Amino acid sequence: MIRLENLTVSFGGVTALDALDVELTAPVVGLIGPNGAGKTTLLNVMSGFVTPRGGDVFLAGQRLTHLRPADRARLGLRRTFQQEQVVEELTVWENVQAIADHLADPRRGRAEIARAIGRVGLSGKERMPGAHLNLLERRLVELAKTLVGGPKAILLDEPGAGLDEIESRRLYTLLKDIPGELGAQMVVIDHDAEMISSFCEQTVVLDFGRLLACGPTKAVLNDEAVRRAYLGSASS
Amino acid sequence: MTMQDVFRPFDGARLGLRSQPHAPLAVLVVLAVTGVAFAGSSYWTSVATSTCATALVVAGTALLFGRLGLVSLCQFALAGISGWATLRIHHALHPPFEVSLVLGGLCASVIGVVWGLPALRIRGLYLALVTLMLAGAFQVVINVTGFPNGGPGLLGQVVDGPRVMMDRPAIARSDQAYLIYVAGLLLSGLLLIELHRVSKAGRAWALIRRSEQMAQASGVRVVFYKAWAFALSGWLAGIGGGAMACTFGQLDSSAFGASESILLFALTVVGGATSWLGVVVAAVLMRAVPALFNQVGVNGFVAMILFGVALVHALINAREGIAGQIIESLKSGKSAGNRAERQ
Amino acid sequence: MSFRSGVSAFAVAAAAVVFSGGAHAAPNCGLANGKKADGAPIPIGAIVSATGLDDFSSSAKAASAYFKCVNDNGGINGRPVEYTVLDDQWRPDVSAQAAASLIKDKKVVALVGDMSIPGCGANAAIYKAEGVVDIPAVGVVRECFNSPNIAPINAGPRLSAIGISRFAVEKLNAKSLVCLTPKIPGAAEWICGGMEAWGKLRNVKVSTVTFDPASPDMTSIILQAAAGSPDAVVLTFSKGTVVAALVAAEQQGLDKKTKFVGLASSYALDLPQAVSPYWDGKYHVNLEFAPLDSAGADAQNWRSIMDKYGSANDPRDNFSEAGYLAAKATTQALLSLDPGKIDRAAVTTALKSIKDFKSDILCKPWYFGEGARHNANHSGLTAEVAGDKWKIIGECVDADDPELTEIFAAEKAAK
Repeated sequence: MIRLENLTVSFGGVTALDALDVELTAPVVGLIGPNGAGKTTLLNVMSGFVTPRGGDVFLAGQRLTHLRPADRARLGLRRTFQQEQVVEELTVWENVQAIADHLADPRRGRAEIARAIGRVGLSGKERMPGAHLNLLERRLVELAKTLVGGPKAILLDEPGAGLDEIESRRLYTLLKDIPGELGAQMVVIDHDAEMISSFCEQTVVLDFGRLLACGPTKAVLNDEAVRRAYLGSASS
Repeated sequence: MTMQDVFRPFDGARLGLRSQPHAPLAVLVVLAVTGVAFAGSSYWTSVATSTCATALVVAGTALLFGRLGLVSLCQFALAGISGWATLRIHHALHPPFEVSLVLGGLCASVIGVVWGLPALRIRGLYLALVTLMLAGAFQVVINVTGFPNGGPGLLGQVVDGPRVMMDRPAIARSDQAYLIYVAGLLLSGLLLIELHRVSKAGRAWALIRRSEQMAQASGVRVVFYKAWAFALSGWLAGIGGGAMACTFGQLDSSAFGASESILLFALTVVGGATSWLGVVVAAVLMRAVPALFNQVGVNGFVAMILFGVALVHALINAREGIAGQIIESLKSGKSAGNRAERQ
Repeated sequence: MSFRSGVSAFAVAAAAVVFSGGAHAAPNCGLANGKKADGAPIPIGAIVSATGLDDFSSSAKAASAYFKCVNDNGGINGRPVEYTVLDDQWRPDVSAQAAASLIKDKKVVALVGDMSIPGCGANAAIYKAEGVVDIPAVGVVRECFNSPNIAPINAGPRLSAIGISRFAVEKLNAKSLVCLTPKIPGAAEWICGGMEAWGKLRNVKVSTVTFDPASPDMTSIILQAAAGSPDAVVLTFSKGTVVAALVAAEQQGLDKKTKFVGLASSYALDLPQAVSPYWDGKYHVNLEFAPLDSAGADAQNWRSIMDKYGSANDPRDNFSEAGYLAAKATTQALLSLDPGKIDRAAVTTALKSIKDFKSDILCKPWYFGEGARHNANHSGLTAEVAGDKWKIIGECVDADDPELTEIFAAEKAAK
């Protein structure tokens, strides 16, 4: 669904992504790599906040590279950020509605919002202001926001950051079936290889902006180079 | 993008009064205005009128700062621009007041957007500087041209004989009636903001204020919604300026210095930029408090010193301003508890 | 701020000089019978610009002292004057509020002794609509002299400029003049416009140079004024800025070709000390009133009323003299009325019919006058810097403003 062709990004003299050529095929794709490997940069290129020096991004065969972020969103691209972005003065409902305003069909807007909130398990809390939510609830609102308006690809940047093991697991359990239900592909960045291996069929490993490995999660995580570069150092 | 598009979908259930002590406060303010209008003091009637007119200008400032986090230091200049246009149109064509007022408001709105356009991609200190430049430029220009006062030519300056005053609206000739009229303008301005707050535009502004990147990633046309906010804010300032022009039938350039815009912004922070009550509090501080001091013979500079103290207080202790403190103190202890928990 | 502190320094200096004059005769005012007035008070108001760029409350302080004296001396046939002074903070909207408060709430019968920058422009319409008369001690802007119900005691800067221009042309043999004025809306056109219209009739070349009052770099401003080597430059601003201008002119050696003269606004007792001896006999100003140390009976009475009924801190300046005159003229007019029938209409009629009010503080008797324009005071003395004092030279000179033709004609007809 998402195809990256020869994608190169550099900031000043530093090459953040180096001729990345990869096709993401699984419904849930994990994106891992050590700090500074270029994971968030890759998400920023895909969502349009960083212009690549070369190469292209395709979503369902459509070239996105020249589009602005808001236009990509309209084509079905959704993303979250490392920092949760729930608006405190808006309620749970309004936080999701604010997205539906621009991306969902107005005739189906209310139903979509209700379904998205229900899907992440926040039914009954629609009228709660963002300011009163705990971190897990905020992460769930962030997830609900990506579900409205017929998403084609959902990019999640560390959706479980700051959550404990149990909360994280709850979140991942929730999101792993979403691609199937919505017909959308999901790309998840996470530091936790354990979490990635339990929920993602395909995994991409980046290291210093280069593609270190890409393939079925099990095979990738057992790859010698990956263990050396990332997991080895992480587990030692 | 059409008007309907901006206002859709509209959730009336949230129209401001949800679980907060807004209704009693609003009743209190309405009673205060009516009380002043019928108590028979000309002085306080005229103070209340200029307080209401100023509140419209504050409302525009609060909209940009409270909803979008944008610091605009040119709101009083926009009021002056509208005031100039309102007077110019009145003296040239003598249309009904409402026509001059609406045209004046549109002028301020358009100039607010045109000046804001290059500023739409910037925020924080740089936007403050750009808007301050407009305020300064207007001060320089208006000091030379003055406001039209019935004379000939484009500038309309009387050189020989008395100034000509602008007529009050036909339905509000007396001081009391005009106070109610301006209070009505203020009410409609505040309702306009409230309508926006619970509509698509208000939610888009909330996203933009939280994070422009997130708003873009959510499909929001950031530039359009910012321009919309500038237009609305200019419109409010413009209606305020037109109302001021009509209060005494004339305007004087000395009242539209850049420092007035800065004071207005500071008092908006003191009053509280996120609620309608903050708008009212800021206007009362700017107009009614100095009037009270003047009445009891306290030196006019004392008010400035008090404002300085109040600003420091607001920045340190009361992020939602005096209005935030009032609303907070009227709310139940439970929500106060929630608030503390969050911090 | 330096402008402001300069002015207050002037006020203190002026007070000190006058106090050194020693004891004066007992104050004389109103019925002068020594009886406290205890009837129903007569409300009179004033609007001053006290808070702002400068404090212009001194005229109302003098009027207040005079009315206190009147109240201690039989009042207005037994009724005391209740004098309310409001500060408009240099703001037109506040000025209009003050007028509403005085006229509609306090129900004053007249406004007397005020000195407000925005007041005349902001309130001329309400005075007319409510049938209230205003006798400002000092009118500063055009509207003070161009409204049916306002008649200031002073001559105003336009006439002061014409008066000193006339002196420069007739006594200093100037053929070309420059009017140097701060850029204040309406003011430059009105003040320098008067000189220009007058110059046209007299075949004198008059040009206008304006500057931004907010950022005065005096040297470049004065060089600009003297650029065409005019015979005289008329300085239309107040003392602090005039001193800066004279210092700059002296440094540039401009006085070789160009004379410098000023308006009544730079007549401050300490100006001769503030400028160097270089200016001895070289700087001339027009006066709107008698010199502050005048030995005239009214001038002495003013000083003794200020000493007895004013505060020691009240400035003893020209504005104060004018406030005294406004209160005195009003009191005389009120005394002619039946004390039981003093209302706004009666007072308006009485004040409007003031004629031939004589004082040694004025060159010519003051009157209210008919019509939409009032400028009874249009002649003044000329003073010259002499050592550390001012010296009066010559007689009263009429400022023959072509705009005042009607007024001159009316005066002639009345005689």
